[in-house]
Amino acid sequence: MQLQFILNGKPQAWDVAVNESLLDALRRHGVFSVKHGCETGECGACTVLLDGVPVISCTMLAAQAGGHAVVTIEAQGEHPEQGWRHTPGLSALQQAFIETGAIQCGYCTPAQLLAAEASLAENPNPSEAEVRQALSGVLCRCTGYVKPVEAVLAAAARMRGEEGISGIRYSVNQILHIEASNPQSPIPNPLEMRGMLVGKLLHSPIAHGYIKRIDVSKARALPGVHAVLTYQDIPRVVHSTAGQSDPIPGPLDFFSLDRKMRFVGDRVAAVAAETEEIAQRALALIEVEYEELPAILDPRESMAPGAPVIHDEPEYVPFGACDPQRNLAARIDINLGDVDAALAAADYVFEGEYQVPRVQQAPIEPFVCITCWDADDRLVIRTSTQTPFHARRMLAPVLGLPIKRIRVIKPRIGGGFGNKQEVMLEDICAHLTIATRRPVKMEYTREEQFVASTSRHPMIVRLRTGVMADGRIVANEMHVLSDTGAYGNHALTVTGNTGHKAMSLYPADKGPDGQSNIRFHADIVYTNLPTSGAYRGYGVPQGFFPLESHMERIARTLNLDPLAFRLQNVLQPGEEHPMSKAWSEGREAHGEIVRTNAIVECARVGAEMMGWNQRIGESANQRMGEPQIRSFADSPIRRGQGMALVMQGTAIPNLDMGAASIKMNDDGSFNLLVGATDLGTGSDTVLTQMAAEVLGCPPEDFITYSSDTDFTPFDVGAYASSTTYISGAAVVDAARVVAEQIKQVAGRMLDAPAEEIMLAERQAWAPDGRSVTLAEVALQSLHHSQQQQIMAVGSYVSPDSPPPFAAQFAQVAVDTETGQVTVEKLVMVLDCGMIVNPATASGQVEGGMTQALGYAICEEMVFDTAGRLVNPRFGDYRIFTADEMPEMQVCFVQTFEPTHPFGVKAVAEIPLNGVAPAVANAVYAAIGVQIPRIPLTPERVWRALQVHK
Amino acid sequence: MFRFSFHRRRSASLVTRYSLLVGGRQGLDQALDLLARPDIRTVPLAGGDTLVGAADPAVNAVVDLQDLGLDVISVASDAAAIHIGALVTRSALAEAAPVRACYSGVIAEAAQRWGGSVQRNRATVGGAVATAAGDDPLIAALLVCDAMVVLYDRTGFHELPLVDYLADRAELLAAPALITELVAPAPAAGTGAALATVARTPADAPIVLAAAALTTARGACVAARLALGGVAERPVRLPAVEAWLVNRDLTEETLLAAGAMAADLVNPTGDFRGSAEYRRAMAGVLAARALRQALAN
Repeated sequence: MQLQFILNGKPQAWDVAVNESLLDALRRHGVFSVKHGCETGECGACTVLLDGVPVISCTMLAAQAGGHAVVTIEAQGEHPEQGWRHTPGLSALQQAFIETGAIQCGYCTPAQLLAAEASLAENPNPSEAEVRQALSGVLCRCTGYVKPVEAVLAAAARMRGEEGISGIRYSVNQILHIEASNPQSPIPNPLEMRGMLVGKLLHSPIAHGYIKRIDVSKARALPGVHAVLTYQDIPRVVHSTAGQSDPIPGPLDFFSLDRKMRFVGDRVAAVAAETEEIAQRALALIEVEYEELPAILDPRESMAPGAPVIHDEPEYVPFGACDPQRNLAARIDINLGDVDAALAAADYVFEGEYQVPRVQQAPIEPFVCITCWDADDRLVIRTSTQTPFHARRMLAPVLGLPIKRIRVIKPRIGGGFGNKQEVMLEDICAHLTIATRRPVKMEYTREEQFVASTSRHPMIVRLRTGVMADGRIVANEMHVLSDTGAYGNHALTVTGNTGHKAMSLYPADKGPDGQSNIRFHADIVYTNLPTSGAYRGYGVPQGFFPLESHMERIARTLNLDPLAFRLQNVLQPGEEHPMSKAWSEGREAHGEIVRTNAIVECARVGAEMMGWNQRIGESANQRMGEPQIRSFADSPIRRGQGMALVMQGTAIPNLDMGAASIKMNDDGSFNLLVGATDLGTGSDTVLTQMAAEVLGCPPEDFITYSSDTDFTPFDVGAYASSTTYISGAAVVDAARVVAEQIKQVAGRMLDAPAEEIMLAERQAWAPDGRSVTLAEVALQSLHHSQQQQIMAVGSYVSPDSPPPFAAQFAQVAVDTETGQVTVEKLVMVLDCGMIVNPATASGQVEGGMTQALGYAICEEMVFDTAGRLVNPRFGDYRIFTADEMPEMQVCFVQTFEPTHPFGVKAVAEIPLNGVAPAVANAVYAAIGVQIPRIPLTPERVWRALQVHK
Repeated sequence: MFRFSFHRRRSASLVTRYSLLVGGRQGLDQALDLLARPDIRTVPLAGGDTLVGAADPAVNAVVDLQDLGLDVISVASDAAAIHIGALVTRSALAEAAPVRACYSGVIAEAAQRWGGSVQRNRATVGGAVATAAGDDPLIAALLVCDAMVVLYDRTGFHELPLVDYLADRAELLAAPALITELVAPAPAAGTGAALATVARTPADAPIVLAAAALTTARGACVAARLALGGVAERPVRLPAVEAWLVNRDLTEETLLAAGAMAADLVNPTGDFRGSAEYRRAMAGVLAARALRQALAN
């Protein structure tokens, strides 16, 4: 049917299918600012304005837009300089989003901007609550909504002519962020290729079993279908999907397609067809008969005698202490000192068991990948990945291609959070391209994203801690049962991190001999559930909820001040990282000294910001002689404050490597090429700032290009909080060499010694005050005299992984009748070394705390008795929205980390670690009951209250 | 049933025909003609949020109800009933002054307590009533306001109590019939209403909810209405509790006893957000809480 409507002020007549959503019709016509995040309207990424009102376009038929006016972000504004064509530039809202650092990955930004535009059109002077309400229909997984809300308020003030009272506090590199607000920019999706096919997967409906019979003949016969692949059609190459350095520190146990199904959602077959609709119909025509096997849905049953063996394939390649016959994907045993003796000598021994759930990274952009052959018969993979170089290396044997015939490109992507540290769709998409010789695009639905990607390892953690009566911790033991799901990607390293980071915060060295007495044992087991993997924090949040809950219980039981007790035992600057000699992600470990650690100051500042010493909660209530829980006649709401201390690491020492190259252009601008992968964190901006600092020019003089295996130098990718530290050091290294080259040329031009030349304000300065511009230096070097290309490569690997530290505080209100926990305030004070960009750094913390808040309160993947996920959609899987966020405050206590040229440490992951224990401890303070399991759902809290009534 | 054949783009079988109506009764009749076709399973399409999102492959065709003039909220006078067109969106309902002014604003509050702000700009009252989700606060709020549903079928317009509609919803809509309007009668003097919920997060869909409306005179209960959500497939009214409350002094003990009665009367099934036991307990807590707040309002 023909759809007549107005799009961005221009009349349109489109042929649309009667069953086509407005989102699909818009994207089919090249309006790529409208993003796909789900199919049920719950994420809001596909928001457009319909007659000025923000509406969801994925749950609206295109036909329903007939006769209406549709506006997308394309109409809001664009870069002011379009060559000779000058435009009014970005809108006030877009400008404010850039200036406040409200854009991280940028995927939900067009929707937020449209929702804000409509809101301001109706109410030019909104309150913060009204702005939050307006943005509440658009889920953002990056920002924690702090800066988008601030941006809308600032834009509103500016639009009212009240520039002076705008909320803008940050200086962010605007030019780089204009790209993010450009509707054409994010994700591979905008790419359209002649003959491009759509790839889809058929997923297993059973948790464990074999394909007894599979008949794809009807699917293959369907017109428009170009390939149907099963395990019978492609080589059987065992590999891991974990995007990690060579050799992969874990078992190789995965096949692109296999006869065995290991979880509900596992791959059965793949189809490439001319349209998504045909591909879906082809999937429905595939006839499969399964032979079901008993399934393991509880990790406590994985190693039981007689348990079904999930990985019995002969090709299985073990790593370390894994034992597939016992469903053991990995095992870790670390013993420092003499734990048993120290426990025996301790005044008190505290034992506890804690449980953390399986949660999804839930980037708003689902996995998306496009594969094609290029003109030189090389396979090009454009993909939403955090590890393009690892992906290329790992895919080569799987596809039967040498590495040099594969090019992986990471365009701007819509968030990852570890989810995309996985070779998830690239292999199957490439198999389809190899089978069809055609470009193929694959994009997960939200349901597939939940079921058939990765999630955070759920763990059952037992702690045993020896403490003296005066609060000294003399021994600490952690026993972890970690559920890796159906495959062992990241199994060893995630859980290793649980012990390595969490158990190092308190060295347990307060015994007479001063040695650390720490034991860490982990069994990482297979189950017939979706695969666990990397998720921001990488095992450490799973360690800190138990540890900091346990510390709270010890302090309260011994009647010690919880904060003072922690500070009495916490790792000190100048001490050796307790676990550093014992563990390094499955590789040879080297001892590391903790050089910077401002955790005591973080705790002091945080306590002050929180009003900790006047805190409300159990002790205060008891001081006032009130009963534990007041009767119904009073309010059933009880408030409490809690806290947690946390640490993390900065990259993997002696392994994580990043490289960068810098090339000077005729006009004095620079191409900065980095292998580092900006997955929406703003790392491209931060790396550019570092280069700009060294070269004495503003960041907008750089054209930064990242993550293309053909053009950029190598980098391990975006994980382990490594980019600013590792890739940043590589950038500084390259920039310093380029600076030397510039000084040589400028010295000749100014007749001054090169070593005395200074670079600043886009100029090279001689000591006597004369200068030449960098543009003049570039012209001299490229065109005029002793011509040479000013260019350098830098690379960096660090022997250190300096830990960032932080103090996390939380205030909650608990409804003692319903169990509902409302978090009212979160304060995080961090020592992340020196802060290069306050906006991106605080944005990382706010967004991280918001994800961690979900971990504490509401996020949990729940399975039925057949292993099926019962909540594979937003809404049922609840993530926080803008209108229900607690107040959040972030503060940095800066230290200069001497192992880095700019003194930086990591910031990206540590915000995930402290919220859950701080919230749980606040609940403990409020109601006097400790709940050893998250999320703290209303029923869980209510049940705990019933037991203690 | 867990399915993986989930179509992001709608399959060809979902919609085979698309009909735009021209408005008025003629438009309603045309819609009924389309809905009545025996060979093509056709359903009315309001905002699309639930229907298109569900991608039910059994649906062959949809009838778009926009442009029929069903998106109007009208009040004859200050003391008269509020007429809410079936295509009024949740956001429009939440913001409408007359709706906010009556029944302590409970209908407006309940309209707001669903989905995200952008979804509410398309999701309609008619859609909510047609779906009648068990945890939708709007249905519970309309129930305690004694709302009437206006249906249009072959024989014309019919007004029936929402509670009766809910009892026979499937048969009534299959007639076929269209929901054209909701009517909230003007509240009696001395009526206060309230909504009470429990959810995982402040703006999340309620696990259990209670809506109450109390009309009092000199401290005694003249009329009581109580509805619960999250305890059955559809929101339910509790006439036994309501009758028990009438003519009683609304002391705290009375309200707690009413809550306990409510908990005894429901028989919820559990899911991942709350077990049967928890839902039953919350039915009691929230019923008492809604009544208490309604009394205060």
